[in-house]
Amino acid sequence: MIFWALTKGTIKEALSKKILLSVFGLFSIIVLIILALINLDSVEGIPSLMQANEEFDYRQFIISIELIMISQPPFLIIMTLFMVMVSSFIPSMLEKGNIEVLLSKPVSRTSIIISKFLSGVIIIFFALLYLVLLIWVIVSAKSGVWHFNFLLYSVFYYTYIFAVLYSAIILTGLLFRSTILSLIVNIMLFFPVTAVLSLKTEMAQVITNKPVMFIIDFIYYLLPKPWDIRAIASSLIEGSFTGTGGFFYAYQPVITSGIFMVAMLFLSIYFFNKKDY
Amino acid sequence: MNIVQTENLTKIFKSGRFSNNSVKALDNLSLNIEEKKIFGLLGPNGAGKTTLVKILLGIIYPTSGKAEIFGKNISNHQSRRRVGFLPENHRFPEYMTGEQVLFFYGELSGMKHTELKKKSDEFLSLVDMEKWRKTKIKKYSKGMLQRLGLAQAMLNNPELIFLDEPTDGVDPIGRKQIRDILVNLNSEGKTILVNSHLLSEVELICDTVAILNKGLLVKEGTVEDLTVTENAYIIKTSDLSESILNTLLSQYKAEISSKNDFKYKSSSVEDLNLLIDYLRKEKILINAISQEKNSLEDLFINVIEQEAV
Ligand SMILES: Nc1ncnc2c1ncn2[C@@H]1O[C@H](COP(=O)(O)OP(=O)(O)OP(=O)(O)O)[C@@H](O)[C@H]1O
Ligand SMILES: [Mg+2]
Repeated sequence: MIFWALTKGTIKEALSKKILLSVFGLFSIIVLIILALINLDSVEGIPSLMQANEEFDYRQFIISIELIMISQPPFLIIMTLFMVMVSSFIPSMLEKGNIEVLLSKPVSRTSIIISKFLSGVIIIFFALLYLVLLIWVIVSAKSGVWHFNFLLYSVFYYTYIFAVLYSAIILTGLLFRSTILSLIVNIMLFFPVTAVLSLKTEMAQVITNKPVMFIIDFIYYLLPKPWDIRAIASSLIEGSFTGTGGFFYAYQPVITSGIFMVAMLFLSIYFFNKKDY
Repeated sequence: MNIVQTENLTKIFKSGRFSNNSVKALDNLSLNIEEKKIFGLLGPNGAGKTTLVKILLGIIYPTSGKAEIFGKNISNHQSRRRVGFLPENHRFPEYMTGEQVLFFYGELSGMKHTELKKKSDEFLSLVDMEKWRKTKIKKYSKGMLQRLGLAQAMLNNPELIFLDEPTDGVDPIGRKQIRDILVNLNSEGKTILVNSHLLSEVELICDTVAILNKGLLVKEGTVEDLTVTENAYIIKTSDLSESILNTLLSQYKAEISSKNDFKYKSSSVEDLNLLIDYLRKEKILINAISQEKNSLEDLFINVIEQEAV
């Protein structure tokens, strides 16, 4: 009951600060653009044109369009946007004069952190669902190809990646008590660093120095792997996911990032419970 | 019964992880607050008043010592269900309206929706804020915020209310209203702890006060006991002649305050009665005899100055 009140409070905060609304607005514009593109006369003709060609795999063509939509550039933009949206939750809660009242209520500090985490994930889940569902319906209705995996995997994995990144935003928010600083650290550290690390296999071919490679390996496994998880989602959507090497090997980025997320949340809870305000 | 109990409560703030600069905000403080009393916590800036309140509410943690509210250790957050709190310099989220603030914090105290609606109406009008209920609080003046904060502190029908400078920034009429509200709450059986620098106000409403200085408890007692200065009497008479005045001055070491009033310091009640005998023998009419009272402010300044020596 009290836990739900907290969660509701955070969602209301996002709504009233207009960030949530502007993201929904932006998504609506994206959807409208896609709608307009699809209705262009030149595009109109494509389905019939292509279906006429026996050789052409029309379904695969639609899937490849979907894959472009979840490719690295849109991924980077959307995740950055999400990080901006939630980065102020913790610092604004910690503002002097505000946190005192909150902590004087009969709520445990642990549940405050968990509810902040959940409300952020819920908000982003619905934002994603809004965007992807609309695109999916439009593309499917237009093409006649109802490729459910696109909807399922992109919403699920993107929400998951966000949750992993958000856990680090919570910890840095608690430590720095500053939206900007926390955001800079997370965007600068995570995207470039994890992007480079995701090229680990390629690096191994160039770097021959064993200790250096060991350190790179170590950091790779320690940090979250948004790019690798995106790649898994992409191959699941494409239907090319083989799962070679067994479950743990194939889903390693998902699992180790999950461990990272849990560790971040534990650290956040531990730190928040210890601190004087 | 004691509703708040602390035992050797100590709080040391360390500034920076590696520096040795530390502030002892509370120093072995043992304090009891009785049920159904208005308790005033006084002390100069930085004495540790806010620190004590924050410790009792679990907002900061004591370095050592023990504290209980309602007989439960303060680490138990459930005991805060029956507590109300108005912090100093509070800042509610600015995007909320007054009413939303009450709803949000009320729900966090575990209140049900219907109850909340009723109570927020009641308390908004009690603090004279019903006109502003739909206005975003970023448009509120300081005193308006303070009134809203007070409504927030009373909303969940708490048994124990902590108010850190409740009348800060409030106009004189508002301050009177707040005093009346507090006295009223107290008459309903609520215990109230007030931190304040406005000693004349504290004197008007508090049953008991404690004075903190540099984290130490330097004085504690009922307002009544602390302000009475023993053995000094104000005597009001009519028509003192020149010669009697002279006798009073020379023999009785009286301090003449106006033509017919004077202050007499006696070492015993017998001495006082001897003076009365003398006055009556001279056929002086005594209009009133009262024990002299110090203001709380006098006491405060005395105590703190003594400490400084
Ligand atoms: N978070 C903190 N970190 C470090 N020192 C602190 C902290 N909070 C309070 N202090 C120090 O503890 C001492 C007591 O502060 P406190 O706020 O309790 O005083 P106060 O009696 O409420 O004063 P005022 O009348 O000005 O409100 C002060 O010396 C203050 O500098
Ligand atoms: Mg204070």
